[in-house]
Amino acid sequence: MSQQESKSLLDQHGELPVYSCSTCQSNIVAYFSLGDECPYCLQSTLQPGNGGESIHSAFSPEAYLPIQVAQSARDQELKNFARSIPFRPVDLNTRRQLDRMTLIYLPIWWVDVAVKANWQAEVGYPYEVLSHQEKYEAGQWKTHEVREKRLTWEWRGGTLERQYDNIPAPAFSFFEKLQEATGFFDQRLAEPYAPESVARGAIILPDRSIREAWSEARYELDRRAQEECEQAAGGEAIREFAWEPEFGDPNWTQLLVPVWQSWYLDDEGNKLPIYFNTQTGQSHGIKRASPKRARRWSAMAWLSALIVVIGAGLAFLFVPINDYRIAIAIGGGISVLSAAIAAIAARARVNRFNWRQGMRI
Amino acid sequence: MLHKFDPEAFESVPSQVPGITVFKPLEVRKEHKTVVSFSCANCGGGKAYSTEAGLLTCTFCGHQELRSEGNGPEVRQFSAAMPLAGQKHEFKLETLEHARESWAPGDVDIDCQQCGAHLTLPPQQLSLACPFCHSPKVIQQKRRDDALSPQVLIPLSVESKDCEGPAHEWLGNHPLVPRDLQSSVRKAEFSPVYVPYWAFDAEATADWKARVGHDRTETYYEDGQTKTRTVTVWKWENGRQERGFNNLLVSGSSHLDNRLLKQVDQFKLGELEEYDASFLAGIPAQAYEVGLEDAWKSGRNSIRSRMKEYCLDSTSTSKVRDFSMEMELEEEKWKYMLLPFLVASYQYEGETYQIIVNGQTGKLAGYRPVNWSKVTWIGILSFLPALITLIVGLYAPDPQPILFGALVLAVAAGVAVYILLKEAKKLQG
Repeated sequence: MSQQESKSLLDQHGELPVYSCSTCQSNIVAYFSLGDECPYCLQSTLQPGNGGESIHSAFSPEAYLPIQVAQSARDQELKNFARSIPFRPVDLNTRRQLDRMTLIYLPIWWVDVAVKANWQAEVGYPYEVLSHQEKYEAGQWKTHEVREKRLTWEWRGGTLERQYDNIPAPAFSFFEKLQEATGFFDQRLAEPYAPESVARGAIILPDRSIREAWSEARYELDRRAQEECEQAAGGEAIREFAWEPEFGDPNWTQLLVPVWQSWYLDDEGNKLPIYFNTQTGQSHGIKRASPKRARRWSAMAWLSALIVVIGAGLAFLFVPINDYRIAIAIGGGISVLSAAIAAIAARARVNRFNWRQGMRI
Repeated sequence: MLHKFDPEAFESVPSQVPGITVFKPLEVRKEHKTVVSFSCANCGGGKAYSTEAGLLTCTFCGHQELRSEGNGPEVRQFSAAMPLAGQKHEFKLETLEHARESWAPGDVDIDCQQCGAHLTLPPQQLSLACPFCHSPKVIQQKRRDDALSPQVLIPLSVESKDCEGPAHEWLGNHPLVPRDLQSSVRKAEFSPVYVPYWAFDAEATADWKARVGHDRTETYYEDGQTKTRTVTVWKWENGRQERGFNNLLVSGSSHLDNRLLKQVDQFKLGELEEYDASFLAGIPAQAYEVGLEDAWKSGRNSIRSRMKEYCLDSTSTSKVRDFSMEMELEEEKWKYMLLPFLVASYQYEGETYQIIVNGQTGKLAGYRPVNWSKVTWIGILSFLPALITLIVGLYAPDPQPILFGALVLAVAAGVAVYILLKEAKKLQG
């Protein structure tokens, strides 16, 4: 998209128009016109919003993650996703999902902050010790020396005056779950934000305020400070870390993380989303088997059994030799029994799969 | 709650990350004195450690002063984080490397602060008296690892004069020593000395395996008769022994006789005190000559044989074959210390014999000359009954049982002579 095209989408405030979904309460912006279908919850309840300064100020991207996974790998993952569902819904046939594939960008808060602190900790320094194993065999002693690495803990303290940039904190509630299911995004691969780079996807705005995100950012800051103090002291481990930080004014920006999204319909006509991590290629989505297909399959099995029973009955009537009659009776019995088991197993499998997926979800 | 930074209590260490400063608690050490002299405040004479009062006593005027005068142990802040003096050390590779380093090459040159004399002494010597003014001096050479300098010792508590009487009595209390030994030897003069020692700890776990013989009585028929015989059935057995070894002492000196030291080196190590140069005032002391690794090798040999005994004792019978064991040592630790002894030597018929007394318990061990003519006569007399029985047997009408008796007596005499010779050799060293 050219700069001119993207500019044409801007509203009277010179900002991108914001869409709001009345179902999932998401606020979304895009460098193209969105219809009424929410790209996140997939419901047709998306409306152009008023924007407003609070929403516009929530959109402050600094960087984005480029897509790392080839489309062919993603398509293969989609096939695997579909294959993993027994009696999958008719709508889940790969081709349709590929047609419906869209790109969305989920936000992560990035905070830059200057820190001044006193710190103290016990730092572990490695040393090697020697121990011995003695073996007595055939009147001879043999000694084997064993080297073992241990840590000696020493008190260290000092001051810290550092600028920490791009400390991540979740900005969108669903993002953590997505990362847990599909693997972590490597934020080191981030590139500076430019409208052209993210123009192909809808951008979901944060649903977590910076106040909520600060506790997670603080946790990450603690971790980084601890790691750096250990490094500064030249140790190999650190424990009992304590610090009294004073934070300067934090600067909040966002990292936009691309995620592919598609969906399929279950038996009840619900849209079930499938997400693809654009760095690991792994998928995540609700897997739902089709009870309707299982019932159909089951009915077919019963029908086959019925045909076998009828056929066996006729054969029984018209075959005069007793030995053949017994064989027909046994064969018919086994066929009916197999059909019954198959019919019950199909429905049981679907129910069990959906129940387990329900538990998992 | 964070420490408040008191610049005097911390020292800066290089930081690997810009913007982060790193401090560590300051080890406040007293100025290291390579040579510590002890002179009397009253008359200027030399002071020596007195076992009676535990004070420093002037050897000239008898003036007594408190022992730890400005020469006490290193003062350390943050004592909880610092290794305690006298604590046991692990076998760190770094320390082993330092222990392998020989003492500073060549002799040590010092100037006597008392009389100005220039003295040269061997590097292992820890204390001496100036040969010109007799002022006691303690040499404290800095080692790369503090643990390799003496950090604990047992103060000498037995006086030289207290050893003379018992030693004189001991000289004459053995039947194999010459009769005139006690009367011809002048009273031995005992000199105190601090001997370097290594104390080792280890937790040993030994898994053993052996074929153990079990005797069984069998009945069998031969020539129409029922007979019995004992048969040994060998079965594989295995087991595990776990033992802890604490304060296994190994001498670090190659000057004193190790066999004698082993007889008297049972110390009450609960009475160990932190090293202080004043304990060594007027008492010769030596640093280790047997290094840490060699000493621990010797300590391990001792653990090996003791664990082997424990394993063999745990077999179900005493008949054992194909014995093998694997022993793992854990928590191997060591401590370096100085232990007090009193040493004397005496001469008898041109030969020199050594006596050693434990400077804490007063236990005595030493070598004594052997009256070999007495040993020879006892040996001959031991064979006499066998000889008489042999002669009687030769002239007896039925000599067989008597000759058998003579043989038994001869064997018994042989065993007795063997024990006698062993004792005599042990006595003489």
